[in-house]
Amino acid sequence: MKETKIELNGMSCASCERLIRRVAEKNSIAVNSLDVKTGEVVVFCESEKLEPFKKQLADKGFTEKASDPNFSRGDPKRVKKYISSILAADSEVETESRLFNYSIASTAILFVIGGLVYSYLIAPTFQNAAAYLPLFILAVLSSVITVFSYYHMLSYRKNLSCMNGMMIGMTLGMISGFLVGGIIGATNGMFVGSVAGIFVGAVFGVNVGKCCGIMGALEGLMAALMAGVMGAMTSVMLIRDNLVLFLYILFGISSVILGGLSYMMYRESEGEPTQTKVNFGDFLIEAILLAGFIIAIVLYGPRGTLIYP
Amino acid sequence: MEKIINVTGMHCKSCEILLDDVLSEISGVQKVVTDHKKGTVVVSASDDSVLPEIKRLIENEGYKVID
Repeated sequence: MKETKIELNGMSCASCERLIRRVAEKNSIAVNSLDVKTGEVVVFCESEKLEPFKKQLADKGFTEKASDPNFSRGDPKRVKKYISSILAADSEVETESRLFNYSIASTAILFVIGGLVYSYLIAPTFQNAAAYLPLFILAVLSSVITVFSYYHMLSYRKNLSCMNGMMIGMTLGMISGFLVGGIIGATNGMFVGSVAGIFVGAVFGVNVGKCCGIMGALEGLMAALMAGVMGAMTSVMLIRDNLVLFLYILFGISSVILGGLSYMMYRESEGEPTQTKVNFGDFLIEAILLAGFIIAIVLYGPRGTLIYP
Repeated sequence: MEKIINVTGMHCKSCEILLDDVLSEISGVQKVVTDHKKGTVVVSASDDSVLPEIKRLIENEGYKVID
């Protein structure tokens, strides 16, 4: 008889723990400890009982984690595998692949719609239309990644701990607020940029953060407040100093942050989504509404004193 | 006899497997189909006499039976 540690995939809740203990009991195996979060189960039994026990657990959906050291926690190869699985549309990342495809399609549709609106409506009417074009493109891209992250977080939120709920509220509130505040702050000034950034950040941050209650919602709101103002202020400060380039750098880093957050949620939930699937129509409409909101304010919103171009 | 029992508190596949496992061991129960999304446990049994035991075991696992 000896103590053995087994690492399992698929554990997510108290029911999983009860199920594993039940299987152990039927096999006369003592469970010394069990951690749902890490998937670690420490058992005490004869060696010959282990394989049948693992097989019974696998039949119930709890497979043993790969012992390959290349896939230990923190190894970049895990991230690379996650990304390549999404691009290959593997079944284990079905939610991510679907949302990724929605993002590509929405971006294409938004560029087509935007191109037509720009060519026939904006360019003939607005004096600085060409100068705004990089910001319109950024508005489309920012809207799509915000909506992608929003729906991805909604897909997993029932499985997330309170701490994770606070983190996703804070992150999405901050990133969406910063991007919107930055774009609108550039063209309309500090006040309009701040208010718009706070509003958008609060809508997304509170909605995803509230999964763990008031703290998550407040984290989303606080992050939106800070980021909306910071985004607008940053643009105003960089008005004459490579502003557009900086906003694109900001977008790039924001995309990495949101991508990392999505990966974290996938890992924390062991890839088991818990919410109803979103359809493409809802995804596209939200992306259009957000991009349209930003562009409408850029074109028709009140102007501050220090603005781009 | 087939009976649909409405159950609250289930939230994942493990809840389904757990209840299937527990209820299948009751003498007289022929088949158990659990659906956590619908919140139902469909039990096929020889007669109604097993129902109280089924409800007791469901609630023993922390779920609530809705009459």
